[in-house]
Amino acid sequence: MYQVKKDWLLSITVVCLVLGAMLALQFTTRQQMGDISGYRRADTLAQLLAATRHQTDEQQQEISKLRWTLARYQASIAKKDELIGLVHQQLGSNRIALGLVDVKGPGVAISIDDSRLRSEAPENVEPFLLHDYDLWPLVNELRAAGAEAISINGQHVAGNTAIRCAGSVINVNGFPIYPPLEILAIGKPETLYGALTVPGGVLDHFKSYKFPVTIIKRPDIMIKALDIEPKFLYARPVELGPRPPAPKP
Amino acid sequence: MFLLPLLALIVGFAIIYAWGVTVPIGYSDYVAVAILAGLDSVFGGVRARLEKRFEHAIFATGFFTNAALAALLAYTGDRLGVNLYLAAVVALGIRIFSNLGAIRRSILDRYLHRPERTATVFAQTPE
Repeated sequence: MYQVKKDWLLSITVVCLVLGAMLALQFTTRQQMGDISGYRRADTLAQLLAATRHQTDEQQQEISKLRWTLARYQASIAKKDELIGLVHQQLGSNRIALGLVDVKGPGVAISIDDSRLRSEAPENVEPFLLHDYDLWPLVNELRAAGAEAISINGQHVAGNTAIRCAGSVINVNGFPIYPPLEILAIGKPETLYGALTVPGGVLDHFKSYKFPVTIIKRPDIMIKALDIEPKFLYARPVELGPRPPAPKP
Repeated sequence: MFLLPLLALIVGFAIIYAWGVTVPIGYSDYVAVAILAGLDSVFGGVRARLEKRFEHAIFATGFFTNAALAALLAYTGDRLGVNLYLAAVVALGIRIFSNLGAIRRSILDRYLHRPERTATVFAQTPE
């Protein structure tokens, strides 16, 4: 009653063709996901160690420089004019830190947009959009790599800056910004670039979800000052007592 | 003879691999379940052929409906918040293994015990 038809081989062949296609589809998709989750290799770790040592050396130099500056402050109390000059100089770098002045210098320009997969996303579109939590690690990584000034779509990311989603936009300094985003950072371009592109680093997430990201090293980054003046309503400087001894390096 | 489906498998794989198509990451689980269902169907077909009860229509429809149903089941599970995906993986996994076992047994039976077969008929083994 079950008659074996001759075309059984044909139908299995056709089905195998489709199955092979499905396997390839899944394989390429998974491979693409797998590429992303690369682990930091030993050489990367060695580089990190070297960088850390270099940083420690720099910080020790910084400590001795600060001590020297302190000595000059103390010495120049007698000579008032020199003190004013010193304070002015100090004020200059503090103003950069607070984002109160336009700054320029070498650095990197990162442009990033919502994922290309956004339109074909399944039910949940959220992972394919840029959020505040996508920008935090970026800014953090840039800071860690020694970025001296950062801006996102023209908004200076200074000491008091918050990056926070509000509805469908991201607020930086309370100003709404929209993708595509352009993040500018002033610092040593190679260091900044390396910090972002290290395997297993912050950009991997963006790559896995196909966010279009480009990073360009540029010698002439220009970052605007904050549009708002930082206010300090509660924080007050502590009265200066005798200077505590510097911690041993 | 068995090389033809294998060849088709490789050709199908090569075409899509060279093409470089990917599914959105969110859908990749469903494709995985569909692949399992397809594998199950193919092994089921081979098994049926070896047991001489292969039927073209059953096999062809089985492959596509099983793949689609498995993916749909996984999708429904995701919508409901239940991991029906795992149920499909477990059920299909078990079926694939049992099909493979039956295929192995049939082939071994055919090539190793061919002369003894007539003898086993007299012995009235349950098979």
